[in-house]
Amino acid sequence: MPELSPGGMTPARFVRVLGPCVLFFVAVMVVAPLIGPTEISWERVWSGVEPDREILTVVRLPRILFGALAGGSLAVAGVLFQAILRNALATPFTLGISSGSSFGAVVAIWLGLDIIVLGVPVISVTAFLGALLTISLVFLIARSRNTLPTFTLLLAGVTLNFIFSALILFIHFTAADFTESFLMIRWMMGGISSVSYSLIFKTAPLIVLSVGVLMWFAAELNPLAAGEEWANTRGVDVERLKKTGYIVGSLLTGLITAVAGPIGFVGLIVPHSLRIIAGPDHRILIPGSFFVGAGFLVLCDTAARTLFAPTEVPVGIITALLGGPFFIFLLKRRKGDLF
Amino acid sequence: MSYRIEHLGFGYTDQPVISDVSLGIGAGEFVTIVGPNGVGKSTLLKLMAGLMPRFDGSIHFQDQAIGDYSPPDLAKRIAFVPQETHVVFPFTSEEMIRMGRLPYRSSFLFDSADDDDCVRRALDLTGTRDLAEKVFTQMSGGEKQRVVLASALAQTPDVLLLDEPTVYLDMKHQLHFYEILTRLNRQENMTIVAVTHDINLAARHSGRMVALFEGGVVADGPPDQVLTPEKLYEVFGIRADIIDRPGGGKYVIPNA
Repeated sequence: MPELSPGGMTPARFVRVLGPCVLFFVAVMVVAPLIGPTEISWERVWSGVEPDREILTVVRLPRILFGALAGGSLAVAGVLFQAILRNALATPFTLGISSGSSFGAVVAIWLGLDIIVLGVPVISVTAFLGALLTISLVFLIARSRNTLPTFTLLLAGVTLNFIFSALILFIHFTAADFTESFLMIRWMMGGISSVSYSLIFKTAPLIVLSVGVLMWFAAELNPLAAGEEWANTRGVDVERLKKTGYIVGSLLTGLITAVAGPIGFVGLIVPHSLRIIAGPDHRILIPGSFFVGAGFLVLCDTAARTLFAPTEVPVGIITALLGGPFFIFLLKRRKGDLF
Repeated sequence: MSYRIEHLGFGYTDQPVISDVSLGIGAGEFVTIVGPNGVGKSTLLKLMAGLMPRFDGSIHFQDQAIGDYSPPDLAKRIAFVPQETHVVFPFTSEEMIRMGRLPYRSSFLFDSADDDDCVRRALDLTGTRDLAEKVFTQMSGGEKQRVVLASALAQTPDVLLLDEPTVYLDMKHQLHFYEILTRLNRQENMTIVAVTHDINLAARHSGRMVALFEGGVVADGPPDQVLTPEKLYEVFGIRADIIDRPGGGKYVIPNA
């Protein structure tokens, strides 16, 4: 009897497919800290030689760690929203979270709250509140008789996106002075700059927990991505899965965006690249996207902080300029239609 | 007894689609449900699949109210084949078929050897082994529908519910599909309930035909007895000649 190919998900296959993703991530994490205006080496860091140790632990490592968390979270959120909305164009920001948190940030800048309290920037707090407001509003608007219809969810999200964008423009146009205006625009371009360890320790457990929850549901996301009735008739509690997915994905996105602003493209091209290379099974896609997204964003951020040094480029520009051509290459190289 | 349906009523709005349906279906039967558009055939099937939690009357499946089953327990016993399956993402046929194993999974991450066996068996029963590696979205309608049937069979169900499964298939694939169903019914003793508009295909393959009209059952019995000119006029509003099919059974020729 001929063997089934690619066959079911076995530990061997899981390691074989996920292994390269982890390797890519580890390679980036080893190399990225060494790149920068001052040359340092791991050897000198291990031996505690200054300034190598201090440059690594104080300047570069927190930024790289948060970049990894951000890239991983956004890529996973992208996978999730594409599955829940069954839409290949969905991103973590499709349902309005970027505008919602940008609105929160813009209000704080407008009120002159560009300060840090208890190790957390106030702008991040208001941005997170803005994201929470959007998430709740979209949920309440879309919910109908204890279900969450996909189309209503999409329309509610896109509409709120427009409303918050208009409010941002309104504040911008009427209230902001030149300095505030620049701060607002810079925030909305997204970027990973000065992130404290305390912020990393506050967000990391939530992110790990969220990805863990999603791994638990990964096998159920496959039939959901194929269709709600398809999932329902295969024993999936579709409404519960959609709600859980929406909330977990939104919180991941909101958490990252509050700290780093909206960083586009990671949530779109990392999931699709992995689908092309490794297939659409979510048991691979979720952990794979986390590692590849993490490595990819750290890579982009390294370029963002060094390419035009001492000037820093917003990382969102690099993700699109570096990721875009690579994705087009993948698209052209594969046989047949993607969708 | 597979199903015991009593005084079933259901409407998507205040207007009922199904007003009063009572129906018993025994294990191992091959039942086709016929009737004009909008009469509630597909709705009845979805209610029987447990896809709609709220309805009037009662549906008992294997002597237990259908609402008392957990979703996975129901999916182990009842499989559903829709008219058409649209998928956005590039799942292979095998991946689509494996999703039928979801209610049985013992690990949140890995498939078992038992899953492999059931997938192989589903491939063989539907003649889809050659399609296993193909991407589902890139296949023809006939191939897709056999893969969807294979995914349903991977659930190793007692009952197969099919909603106009051959409506988009050409004649050859229609015949082939019904031949597979007949084989499943006879050799695997699988209970089959299919909604269809193809009365002749239904008459040839099913042992029992149920005609729905105005929200209720108007005829129920062997196809030979249900297919009379009077009944066809009552249910479909058409005049038809009924002729004997060479080799047994009836054949309906609509006239006006």
